[in-house]
Amino acid sequence: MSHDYSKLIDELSRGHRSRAILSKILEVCGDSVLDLSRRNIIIKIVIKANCLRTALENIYKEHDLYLRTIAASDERSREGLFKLYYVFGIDSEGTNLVFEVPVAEGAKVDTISDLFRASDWYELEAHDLLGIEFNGRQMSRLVLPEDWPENLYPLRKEVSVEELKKMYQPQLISRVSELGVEEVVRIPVGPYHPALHEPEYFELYVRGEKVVDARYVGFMVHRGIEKLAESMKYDQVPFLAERICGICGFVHSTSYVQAVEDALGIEVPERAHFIRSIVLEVERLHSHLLWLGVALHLLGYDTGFMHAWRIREKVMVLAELLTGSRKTYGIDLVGGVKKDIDKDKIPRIKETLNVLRKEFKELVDVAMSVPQVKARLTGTGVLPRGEARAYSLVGPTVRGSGIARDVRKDYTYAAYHYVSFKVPVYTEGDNLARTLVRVDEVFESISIIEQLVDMMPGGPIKAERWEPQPMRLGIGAVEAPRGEVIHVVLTDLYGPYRWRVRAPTYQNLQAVPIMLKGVDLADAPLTIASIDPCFSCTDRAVIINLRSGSVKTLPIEVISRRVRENG
Amino acid sequence: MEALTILLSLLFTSILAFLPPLLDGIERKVRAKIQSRFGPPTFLQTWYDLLKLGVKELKIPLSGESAAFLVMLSLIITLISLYAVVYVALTLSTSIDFIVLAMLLVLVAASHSLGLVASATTSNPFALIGSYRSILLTILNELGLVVGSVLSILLGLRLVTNYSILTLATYLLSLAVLVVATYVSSGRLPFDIHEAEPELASGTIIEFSGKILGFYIYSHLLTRYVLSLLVAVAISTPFTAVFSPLPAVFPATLLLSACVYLAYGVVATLLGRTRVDIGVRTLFMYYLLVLTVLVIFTWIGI
Repeated sequence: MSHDYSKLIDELSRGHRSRAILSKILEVCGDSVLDLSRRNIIIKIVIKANCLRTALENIYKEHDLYLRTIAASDERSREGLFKLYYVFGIDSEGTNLVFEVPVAEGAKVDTISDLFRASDWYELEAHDLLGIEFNGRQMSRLVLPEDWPENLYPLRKEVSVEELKKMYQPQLISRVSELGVEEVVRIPVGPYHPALHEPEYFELYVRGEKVVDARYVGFMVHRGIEKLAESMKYDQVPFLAERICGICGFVHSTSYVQAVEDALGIEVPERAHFIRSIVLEVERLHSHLLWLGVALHLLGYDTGFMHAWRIREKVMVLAELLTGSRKTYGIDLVGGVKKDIDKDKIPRIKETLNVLRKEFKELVDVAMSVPQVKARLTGTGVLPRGEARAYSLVGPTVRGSGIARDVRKDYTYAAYHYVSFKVPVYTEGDNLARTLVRVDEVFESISIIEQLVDMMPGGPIKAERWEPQPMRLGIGAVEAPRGEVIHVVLTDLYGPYRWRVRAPTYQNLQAVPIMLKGVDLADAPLTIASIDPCFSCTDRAVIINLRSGSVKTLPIEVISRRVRENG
Repeated sequence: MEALTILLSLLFTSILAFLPPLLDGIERKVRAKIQSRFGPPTFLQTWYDLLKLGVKELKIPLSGESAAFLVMLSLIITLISLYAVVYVALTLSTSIDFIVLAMLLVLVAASHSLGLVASATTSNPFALIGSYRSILLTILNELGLVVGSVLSILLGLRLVTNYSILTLATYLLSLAVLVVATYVSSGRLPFDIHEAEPELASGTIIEFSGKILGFYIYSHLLTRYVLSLLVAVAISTPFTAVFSPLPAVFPATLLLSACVYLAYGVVATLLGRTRVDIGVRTLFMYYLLVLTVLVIFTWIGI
């Protein structure tokens, strides 16, 4: 790199914030910065691993800089190296700052978990899945099961999906041998999330009825979805992505296709952007109504729960009208969408939205006037603004703590730049604040859909053709109901070379123990639920047949059906 | 006359013992209607549920023999308290039998205490959390129950002979104490905190299954009905003393008890669940305020 940086910085920066940050990085790292480039809103800095920490030490106090995700990738077959991609966001100017860090096999990278607390899990995961080592921190297993063999890193390219299936649950295989039986069925039962009945585990340390400390143990189920996508074609992955979450699946498929479109520079027709935005907002409506119902149920106000879900049903019918499915819509394609919205559907959309607005307002007015609901939401599960910032939190969780972070505004995508909407922000940081953010967002979403429907342009709904190119980096981010979902894609000729998925709960969960400290035991479920956690919810039973050597997984309900059939 | 009253009380007790599960079935349908649901297919659903539990195998929880015994004892005492409240309802018109009234209160308190002891004897630490919540709430609430029931019945009778605005006001206040106390004792929202978060902390129900659970639920519903009948008696006392007790007023009291039972159910539908600290504090402040006013009224001289 040349030492005359000022011209380069002027060319690359997207505003005074990125200019200041780039100046600092070049000042402290100089020749350790191997390359600097910019494409759209992404400024990419290729930096040596030994200077990454120094660079970040100098910029981590920038108030609107936050860690969005870290993607680790095995690029040994191409460049003989692993790579780490640290994606930071500069909210005020909507810029993605990507640090690309080449890491030689066996080399160690300095941790940044003390600078950006959100990076803790990302580093552990990079170690679990790719074997990348980090200096200056304790390493422990995070996402893989306890009985996973040492030195088997599933995201390394030499490890195939078939090989991984054979390695699945070796302890279980030995257990079968010990038992001396031919076939065994292992059914996962718990641990369960105290609010949502999904596989999560919280330890609450309680004095009387007060929670004095809390510990979270997660990652009960690692599904290997990212690995699976590496053997799929581009247009097969949206279907896989949509199955990451049963509530906000469309968010994931949209993030994925946006990442690919960003990487390959695909021009998506405007109409497709509008359709995606409408469906994304429909998904937000059903998710927020679902959450509100669950929250009211946890507060013992079951009447509110029933009515929230009754109103939600109208949204489900609307989703079916627009996409043909109540959930898991399956309409996203790289370069556009599969299903158009006909003109004759528009009156029904508007009619449904009008009823929804009226009934939801009535529900909120009544629910918020119930003394127990208000008393138990107010002042409980407090998350201070400073902690929300330190953990790079997202979604209603961060907006309830006074930070107006919303991808739709900050890093606008799809058709959101055509519509006018507010980002609801509350400063109290308690359960009530997070609830009110979601309540306000329901009204905003209704308004957004109305505007989009009115402004929807004509034209095609998908790009005619596009050409894949290898090793292009793309970022796709969508504001999910729970907060920002971000997908990082490294392209290949037939499908993604590396696909990194980061759901909002991954970011927000780390702050839950802070919220739990000092709450009453009775408010713990609600506090956990207040981030609207979304855990892996497709537990599988494993059947091992020793004689045939087969290992297969199948949904639990299939087993229960078999049991019934066999009496 | 005495023998006839006893016989009538026994007869009505036998009939009324079947009523609570039916009322619960109606309450479930009403609740479903408010919540835009269909609810159970029939008013008799709670009876069907109980019968189904009754034919299931007997399972005693670990170290739960004493809890199971106490549940049965509590059920018997609740049945006797139903007899007592029926007896009070039948005899109020002629004179008030303080012994029966006192016995009734002792029986109700005993039934509650046995329920609490049954909860506390469980070895399940999760159930214990709920049990201690219940104990805290019950200790506070029994005061309101005793004061409310005695004063409202006494003042109701006094209204007939010595009517004044002050007496009426005191009667209504004591009735308000009784209504709140019986509502809290019925374990409905927002005061069902002993069974609040079954994943974190629960009450005794988590320990029981089959027949024992069936008896526990029946006993619980019976307690609810006894409390509703007590409120109905307190409300109808002034009228019972004026009009002939049978055959008009006693059936009206029974009808009123069903209305009270269902009204409590409707109120519960409109509320959320309290937290133990908020619940106890709210209840304490309420009793403190109302009882202070009652003492002042008494001191003024009614």
